[in-house]
Amino acid sequence: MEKAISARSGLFTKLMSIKENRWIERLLPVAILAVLAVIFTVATNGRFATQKNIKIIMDQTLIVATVATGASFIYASGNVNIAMGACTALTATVAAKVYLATESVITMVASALFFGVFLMTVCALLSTIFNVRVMFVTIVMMVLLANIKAVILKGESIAFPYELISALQRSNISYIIFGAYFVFCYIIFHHTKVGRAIRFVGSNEVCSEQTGISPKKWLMVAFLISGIGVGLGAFLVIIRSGTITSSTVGSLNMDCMLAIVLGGMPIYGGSRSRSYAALIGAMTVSVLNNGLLMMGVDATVLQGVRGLLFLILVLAGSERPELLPSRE
Amino acid sequence: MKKFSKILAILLIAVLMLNLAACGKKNEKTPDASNTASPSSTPVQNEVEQEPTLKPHKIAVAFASLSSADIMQKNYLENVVGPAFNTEFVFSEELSNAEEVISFLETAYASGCEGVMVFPTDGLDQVIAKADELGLYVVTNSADIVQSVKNLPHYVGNVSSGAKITAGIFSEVVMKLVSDGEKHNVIIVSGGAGMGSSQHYETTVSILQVLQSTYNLNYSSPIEEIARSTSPLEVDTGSDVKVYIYPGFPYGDSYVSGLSSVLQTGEYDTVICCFNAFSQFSVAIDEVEKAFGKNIRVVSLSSVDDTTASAFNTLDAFGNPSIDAVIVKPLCAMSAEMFVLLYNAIEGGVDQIRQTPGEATMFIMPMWYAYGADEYNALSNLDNSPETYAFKPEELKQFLIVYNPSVNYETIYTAWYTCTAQSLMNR
Amino acid sequence: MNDYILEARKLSKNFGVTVALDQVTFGVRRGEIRGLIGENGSGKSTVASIFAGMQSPSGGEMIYKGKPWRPSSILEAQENGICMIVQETGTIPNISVAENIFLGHERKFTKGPFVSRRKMIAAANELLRELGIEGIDAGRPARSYDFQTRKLVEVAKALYWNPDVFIVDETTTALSQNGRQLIYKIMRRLAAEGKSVILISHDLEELMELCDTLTVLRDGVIIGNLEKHEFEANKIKYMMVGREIVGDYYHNDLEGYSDEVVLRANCITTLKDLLCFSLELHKGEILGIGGLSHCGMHTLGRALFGLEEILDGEVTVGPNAVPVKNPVDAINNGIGYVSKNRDLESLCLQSPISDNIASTGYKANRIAGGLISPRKEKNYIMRQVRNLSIKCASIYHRVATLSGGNKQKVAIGRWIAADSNILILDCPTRGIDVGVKATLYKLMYDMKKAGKSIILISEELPELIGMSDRIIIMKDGEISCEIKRTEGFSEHKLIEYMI
Repeated sequence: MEKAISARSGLFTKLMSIKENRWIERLLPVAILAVLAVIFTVATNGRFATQKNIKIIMDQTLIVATVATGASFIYASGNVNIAMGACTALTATVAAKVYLATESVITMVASALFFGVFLMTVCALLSTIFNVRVMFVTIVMMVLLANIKAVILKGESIAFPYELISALQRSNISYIIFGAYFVFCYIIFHHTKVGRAIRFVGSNEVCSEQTGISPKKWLMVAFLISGIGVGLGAFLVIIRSGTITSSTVGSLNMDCMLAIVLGGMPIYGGSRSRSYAALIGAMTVSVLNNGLLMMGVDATVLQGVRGLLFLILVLAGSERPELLPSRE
Repeated sequence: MKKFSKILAILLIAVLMLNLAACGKKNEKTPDASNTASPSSTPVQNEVEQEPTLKPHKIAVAFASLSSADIMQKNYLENVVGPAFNTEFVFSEELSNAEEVISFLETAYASGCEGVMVFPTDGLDQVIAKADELGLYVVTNSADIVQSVKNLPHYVGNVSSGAKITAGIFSEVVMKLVSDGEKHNVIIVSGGAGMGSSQHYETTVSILQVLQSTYNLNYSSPIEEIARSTSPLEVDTGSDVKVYIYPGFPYGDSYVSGLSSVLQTGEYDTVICCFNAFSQFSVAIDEVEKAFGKNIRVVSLSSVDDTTASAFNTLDAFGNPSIDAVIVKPLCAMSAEMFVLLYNAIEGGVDQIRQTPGEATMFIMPMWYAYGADEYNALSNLDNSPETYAFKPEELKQFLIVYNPSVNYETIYTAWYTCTAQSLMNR
Repeated sequence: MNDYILEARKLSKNFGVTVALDQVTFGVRRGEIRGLIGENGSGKSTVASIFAGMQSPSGGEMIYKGKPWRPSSILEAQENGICMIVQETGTIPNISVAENIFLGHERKFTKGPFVSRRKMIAAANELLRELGIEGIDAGRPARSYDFQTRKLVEVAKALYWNPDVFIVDETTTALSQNGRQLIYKIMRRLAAEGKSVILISHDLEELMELCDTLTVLRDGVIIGNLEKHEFEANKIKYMMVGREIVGDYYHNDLEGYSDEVVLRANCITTLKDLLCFSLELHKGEILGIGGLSHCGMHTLGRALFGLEEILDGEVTVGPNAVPVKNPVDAINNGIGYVSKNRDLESLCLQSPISDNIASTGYKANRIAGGLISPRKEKNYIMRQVRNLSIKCASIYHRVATLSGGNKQKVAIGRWIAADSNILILDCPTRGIDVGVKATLYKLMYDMKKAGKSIILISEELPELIGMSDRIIIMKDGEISCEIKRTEGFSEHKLIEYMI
């Protein structure tokens, strides 16, 4: 029995040391995505990997990837933002109204960016000034913003001219916007003080304060960057469907959380956070959806699979420290 | 995963073989049009020399809601139409906006669909454009052809009850209601009449016209303007007959309470809903009936489901049902027409069934109505089971080009346009 | 016949490939205070935790009161008379002291289906009184008391069971003088009653004073058992480390320090503990601050670093008297701080070693455009890893995987990397074994020689005496005495000023 215990503990130790390996930890989600893509391509006799299908996957990924990439700054700081969807939805609504008033796409985009940053800044200020955890502030904001949106829309929907939306779609501007924002976030997150400081705050707020890294200041910065993502995401929402209704981007918040977790980002934030986790995760979700459907799996079963996957990944990835937690 | 693929392939082959075996049966003769509810008034060549080999097809269905009526429609397609024509259906969840429909289209494409029935009406220009981009033939349920995309090759057309036709049915029903020699004060729940819904607008207009002619009303503003009101309006009728326009949709708590406060004046005894809203007000109406000791009559657009059945068959304290008349969409019959259009398009005959080649076409399936519990109970037994479907598979064959190469727009249009509840009941 | 109450016979414990205990055999006699000493990772806590039912052995056997002993849980061990208090927090913060003491045994206070909190609290207060533990209201939640007080609650909790074997694991180092005295008293009383005590500590002086026998472990193996008459500090250290640690590992330098004042506290008053407190720190000085636990020295350290709100007065740094109002001011002016609660406040345990060390070097490692150079950053980190001999498999492994001593090296290394001129170290050698202590002391001395200044806040007098150029003893938020090294330090005298 001692040998069995020894062997079992030996395997566990090996698994743990693999988990500690930073290259494994970084590349595992990418590897999973690649493996899934290969499996589906083979299983569908190449139908999965056609240009059209890949474009579909990317189209489905873009909005979530954009908003979630920005949200990863907030998650990295150890906070959870429940209002991403509500912020994006309201921003899209306001931007749509601006377009109706001005008929200018540039003004619409500018207003989306401004309003997205504004909303996220309000969330951050409420949290820092009143010392309330971000999650609770954003729960309140989520309800408030949804109601504001309902008041603005009054049960109607806002429809954009077909020609405008088609032209925007043909120009592939969604890809350009996402690409630029992704690169921007990647550089900031991984190659500047900003990303390092935010991750450090997420690891241990007390220690970061004692290192001269102010948790409040960097939380504001995280929300600011995330606000840009919200603004851009709102614009992409408009391009995708050409209408804004009361239920637009209803599930965006959960999709963002799912993408971030599936992409390998720890739900508690901290050092292991990666800005590209959102993109990997969003793509993984789309690939899974798309591939399983191509293979004939029922759409309702897919929901269950996604939920289960989310649970498994959060449990597997969550760092339950053996020592005392760093925050009360 | 490869194993899964193999199992799927074997299943499809089995289905195909079963269908081929089924096709070997002798065709039934189509009944005579004059005595029965055979939908077509024009004689159609409906006998086929031999059963054609049916290719397997896959059609997606995008639902706007999943009420019991929609489930019935789903069952009809999945269990009756699908097996008969070697067609697999892929159903969506409840889709509430264009974005969700577009995502569904993409998944439909991924699962190999060739056509799609679209019931949600939000952002249809984008939805149709996306379907076209994906190579999916699309038929929608909208009351109007989407002009900006009407020339897209995969946009077959719409199957709808028609705004003016629905308005005409409402006129007939309301006329019955108000022609009893007494004066009635009416609330018109106009929905999106002022927000671009042509059906709600036409319905509101027709109701106002009926009231005007019945009570000799003298509206101070044009009927068109009154109908388009976007806020609650007590109409100046130039007489002691009261008419109240209540627009909007139940997006917040204030919607029901707003109408409730009007009812509680005790001045109105008739409520006419242009969309399926009566269940929202049933409690408020019941309270007012009790408080004022009078019956409030209700007419509403609705669907054949448990809520409507209960409203008709459950009597209030005064021995009256909660609803007096309903106008319903015959969903199975409607989806049968949508199926026919899509199937023909997928089989290469899209222009053959259009009114104008290269342009999306409007097809009408009029709504049915029931006045009173007896009529409703009879109606509710129509088009909901293999014995009572308006369009059984055998009847559909004549509208499919694989069986009947000469089928065209006229034959299809007429068949469904003349399919009324009365004609079905007679059959 | 032996009078061992508890024996380990060829006891082994493996954690995967790591051998924590290798065929350890020793016994604890009735009425004995047995010390266990060894470096971090020697296995002393492991063997104690196996005795106390916290984990099970991989091999070997235990005999307790003449019968085979294999407890399945802590509760079973408690009920059978073996209780242990641990180094880390063993109380639950959000329940009352009484609930903590009687955790798992609430049935004793039930009336029907209800637990009588009143009775529980009364029983707890009575127990605390009997043990001589004062100043605790058993009805208050545990979180309202500091770490040390909570430790005493754990002691009460353990002693409630009237154990025959009482195991104290590295607890005394977390306590003030008062607390330690109290525990010593309890241990001696238990021994006098014929009970046994196993004391695990890094404090050699403490062990030598209290214990009847000392067992030395190294790398999971027993190196030797010494009776009291055989106790000799250098010999024990040698057995622990396996190499010569010559005499004092402090320094004997009497050269003193410069006159230049680098840090000044001008009559600072904080919300708690300090009232118009002033001090000066000189260039090249190691200033020791000592006192009883609540004397205010820890608050002083925080205040000097800008972590405490200063209601009156100010802290200034440098010849230009730049005010220090917050940690950013402090850091920008070359001050570094290592908290007493190292794991909670001075390190991000779940972050890699690299991230921890690099956290003080964002500015230093920047290149054009605000980007951080990976190469510069890696050099920044590796310099400390090398210079401080931080033992790690990879700098990308989490700090939590390091031993206590190496963690402390990371915590201090951050500030050395940032080229801090002033270091405020609060209990830097708490829970650190002798080998690493020696390294840290040498480091402090080297820094002093290089003209850096250190404020050494410590509850260990020998450390203060051994390292400081000047010692300030605090009492009730004020300076009780100030003695220079050149005047000669006397432990007895310093204690008098403390109490």
